[in-house]
Amino acid sequence: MAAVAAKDIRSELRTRFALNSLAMVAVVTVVVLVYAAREEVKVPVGIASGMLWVSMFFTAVTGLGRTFVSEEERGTVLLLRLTTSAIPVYFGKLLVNMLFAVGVNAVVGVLYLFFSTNVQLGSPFALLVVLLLCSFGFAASLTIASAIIARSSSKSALFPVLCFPILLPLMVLGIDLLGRSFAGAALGVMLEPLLLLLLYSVLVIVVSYILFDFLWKE
Amino acid sequence: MKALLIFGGFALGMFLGFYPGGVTKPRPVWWRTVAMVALVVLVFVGFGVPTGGTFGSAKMITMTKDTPPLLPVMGKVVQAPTNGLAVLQDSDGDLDTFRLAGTGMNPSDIQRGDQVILDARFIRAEKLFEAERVASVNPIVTAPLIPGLEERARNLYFHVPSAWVAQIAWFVAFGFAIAYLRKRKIEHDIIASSAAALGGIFCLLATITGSVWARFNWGTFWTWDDPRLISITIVLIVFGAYFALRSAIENQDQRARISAVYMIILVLPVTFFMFVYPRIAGGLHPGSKGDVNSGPVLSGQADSMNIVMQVIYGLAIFAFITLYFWMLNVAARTRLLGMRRERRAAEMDNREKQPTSAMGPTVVRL
Repeated sequence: MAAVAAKDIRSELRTRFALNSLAMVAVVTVVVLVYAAREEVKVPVGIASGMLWVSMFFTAVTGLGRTFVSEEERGTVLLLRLTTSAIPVYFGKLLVNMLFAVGVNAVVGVLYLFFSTNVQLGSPFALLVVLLLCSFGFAASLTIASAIIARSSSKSALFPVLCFPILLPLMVLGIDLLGRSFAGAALGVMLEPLLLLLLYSVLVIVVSYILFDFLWKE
Repeated sequence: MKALLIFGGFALGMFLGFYPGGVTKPRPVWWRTVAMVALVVLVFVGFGVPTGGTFGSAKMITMTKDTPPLLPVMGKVVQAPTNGLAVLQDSDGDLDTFRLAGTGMNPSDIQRGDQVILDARFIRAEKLFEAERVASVNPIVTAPLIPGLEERARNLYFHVPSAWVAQIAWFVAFGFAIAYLRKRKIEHDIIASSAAALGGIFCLLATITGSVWARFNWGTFWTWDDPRLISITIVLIVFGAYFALRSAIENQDQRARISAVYMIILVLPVTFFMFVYPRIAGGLHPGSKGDVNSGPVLSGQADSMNIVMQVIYGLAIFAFITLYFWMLNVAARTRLLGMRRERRAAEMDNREKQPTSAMGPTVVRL
């Protein structure tokens, strides 16, 4: 599992192409959204959380969808299938995606807060916790979606469509939580949706763990 | 009693869905007759059973309107009409005076001791009802007049069962997706995807009937204030995503396997949106957060639906579920036949391509 994760990180770092383009996606999405709202004196909490969510969603979908697809494109999937059994592969990929998701969401969050001068952040600590949990959920949902998409045609067009339903409960809870942390709610008040978010992500991982075998073995 | 009726309709429908001989066996004549009769009876009683309200509920509705609306009120005639005035007593025991004002109304239509439903307006200033016409005399069954819903309550027999069937369809598809992964029979994949497609249709039906209902009850075709409307949009998107995935994989076995996995994963968000989210978020539908009960259908309170409505609702659930399984049966069988025909055509092709010289010049084909 650690070997799979280490291999993936090494190969990503070696090319840096994916990381660079991912960073550009983050910058472009955030800048476009913030620019659209530049004339607002004060962006309402609901809009601010929605904008942040959209940036996170698109950056994550662009970046994290590649895990299995790149394996398929490079033609290394057969080798991996021969040498490694399903479970270490799944958890290795999940680990890498979690690291990526945390990184992506941190970058997007910092960029967003830096660029949008007309957004007031009520409780930074709550935002941090929400972003961490959202990253966890993103990684859980996108890993299995990437495994599903790897074998189909027109991958890049289909991937956002495919992962959207799995991400939806995260979206509903996440936008609400982001909004509340912008409004400055204490972490204790948000405990219930936070736990629901965590529970959903864990459930996705459990179901993926059960099902991954069927995707991995031909 | 209510639980028994609704669960009975549900269980009987599900039983007939799989009996006799599973989902894909041709349905016998008695089965089709039962399904057809249930549907026809549902349409007739759903629209035909007269609504007869108590005086109290009619007055309650009148309070909310500027001009008094014409409402069906039911009572027993305790004093036959004299000088155009009759006294009626409703099921709550209230006594009220009715002025028989309608032009087409003959006082002799109403006899003392009759149970009558009159289309009437409550005139607040005079504290009496003005009856326009006799809607029904001694009706066998009546549905209650629910303030806020009135005649629109009939949509309950069509809107709610389609939403239920959309959920049932989802679980049928889920079950056959699991069956496919266990047994790897292509039939199971065909049933699962047909079940999902029909579920999408029923989901759409629930959206349309609900949207029309919303227009006349909440004043708008669509609102984002209600979690169930968000849920149904999302479930529609989920059905769409499932079929987008299916159309993107060429190989039949691979498509079956991958879409079965996707279907099973999708159960998580669908369950969340169908059962968890509408109950944790506040909204306009019955059963939302802050509502005192879990909605008129599932609530334990006896008075939220009267016995007639409960029977019709049980029938509606039964009729919709059998209709769904009938459609599923036809859809799956058609696709299975198509698959078999293709397979046979491919076999024929192969046989023709085989060199015939070794076998001799005469090839007898049937």
